[in-house]
Amino acid sequence: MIKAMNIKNFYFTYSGAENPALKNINLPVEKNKVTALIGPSGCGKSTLLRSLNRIHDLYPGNSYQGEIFLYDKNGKNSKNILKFKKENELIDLRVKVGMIFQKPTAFPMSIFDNVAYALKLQGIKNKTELTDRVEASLRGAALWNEVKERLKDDASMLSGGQQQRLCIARAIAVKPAVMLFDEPTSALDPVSTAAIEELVVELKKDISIVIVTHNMQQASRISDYTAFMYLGDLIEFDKTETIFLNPKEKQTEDYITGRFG
Amino acid sequence: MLENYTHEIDKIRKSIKHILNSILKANEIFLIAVKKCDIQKFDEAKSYLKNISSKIESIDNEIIKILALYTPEARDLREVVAYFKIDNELLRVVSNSRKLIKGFKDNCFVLDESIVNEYVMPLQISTVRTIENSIKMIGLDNSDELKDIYHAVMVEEDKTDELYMLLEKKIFESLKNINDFAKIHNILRVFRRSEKIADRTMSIANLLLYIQEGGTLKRI
Repeated sequence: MIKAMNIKNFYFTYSGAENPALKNINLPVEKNKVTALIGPSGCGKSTLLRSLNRIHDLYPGNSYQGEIFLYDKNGKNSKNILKFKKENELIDLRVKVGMIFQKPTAFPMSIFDNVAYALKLQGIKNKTELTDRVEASLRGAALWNEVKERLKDDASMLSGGQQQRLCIARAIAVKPAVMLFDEPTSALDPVSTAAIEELVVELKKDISIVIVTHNMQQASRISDYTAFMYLGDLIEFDKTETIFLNPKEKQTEDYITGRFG
Repeated sequence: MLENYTHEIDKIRKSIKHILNSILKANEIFLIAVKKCDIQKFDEAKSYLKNISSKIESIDNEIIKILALYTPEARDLREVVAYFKIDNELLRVVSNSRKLIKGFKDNCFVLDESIVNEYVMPLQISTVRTIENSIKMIGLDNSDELKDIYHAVMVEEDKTDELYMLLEKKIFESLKNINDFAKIHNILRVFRRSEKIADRTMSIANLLLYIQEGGTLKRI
């Protein structure tokens, strides 16, 4: 197993809270696989996801304990991302570990500029290179054929599903190693949901993926590994097939069969 | 449906086709063996049925995995359920084929050559054709073509019923000594296997038609 990330003895406490929201989490993120985080609302799955690119740091007072390692391409050398302190280290982390949110967040600019934005921030100014990488990203996000004739149109004109794929295109433009998806289809219709699911399966060939979802079928359909969380604890982590067919923990089985949560 | 699902169901489709092809091969070689009472050929026919039960078992587990992970619906659900039931039929076809081969090998020289040529061979030819045609139905999307092949399976299966009845009649007519009754009864039980293989293959064809046409599952 080549790891993309590895979470070790991890605790997270929100600002002003007495008790940690996440307790002693140990979880590997395998390279080029989809890892799903499932569990009832408030179990800490989104908190854990957001810890993986330190997005909690945008709000003061939150505290981390433990280690979260981000590995290089070969899965050999790693850095503990919880040790990052400088702003540029955190920016670099969020380039390597991209994030897609529940609600599509298209910027108020053209379709082309939405994708080119991140590339320009990275210092790419050459027009040909920009155009090529925007096209490659839109193709990678399975959106190119739908927008190639109207790249200059305002991104807000796109449907919800298209906007979500545009966000994915923007994220993959900077070639991240890991992508975090926080309930990426909960605001979308079944057709757009299917398109995003297919895209996730396609993207894992190049990128390691962690996805939070309330949709159990979605987790079972697209993920290779599943982690079940409950009240801030990681109850069970295994191959998706095992979690959905033969879970070892009673709590996992009860949740999957809809007996609680 | 997702690429993962398509890949998994395609794997199952191929495995079922592969198993049916092995059964077909075993029954075809058995047909050659019957003609000359060739003991080596009987063994060769049997070799095609080796380890099939464990392959069927693994298909069963793959199907359970598909149901748990992909929750298929409509035609996809019909297809998965049909393959699950086909697996059961395959087990019976394999078991009947084994017993047919072994049974005839042990009683090879009991029957008169004219009975073999007139009844046994046509019975087995029809059985082989039911298998051959049901294989053609796997993965076929064209509804008209599928129904045509299904009818061909039905015709051959009907033939096996009739040929078996004629064979039974002929064998009892040839019974001269009541002490031979046990021997004759035994040989009839062997040929009953051929007819049963065709029956089970008919059920498989029925399930393959159900995938395409839908409706309610019926037991034949």
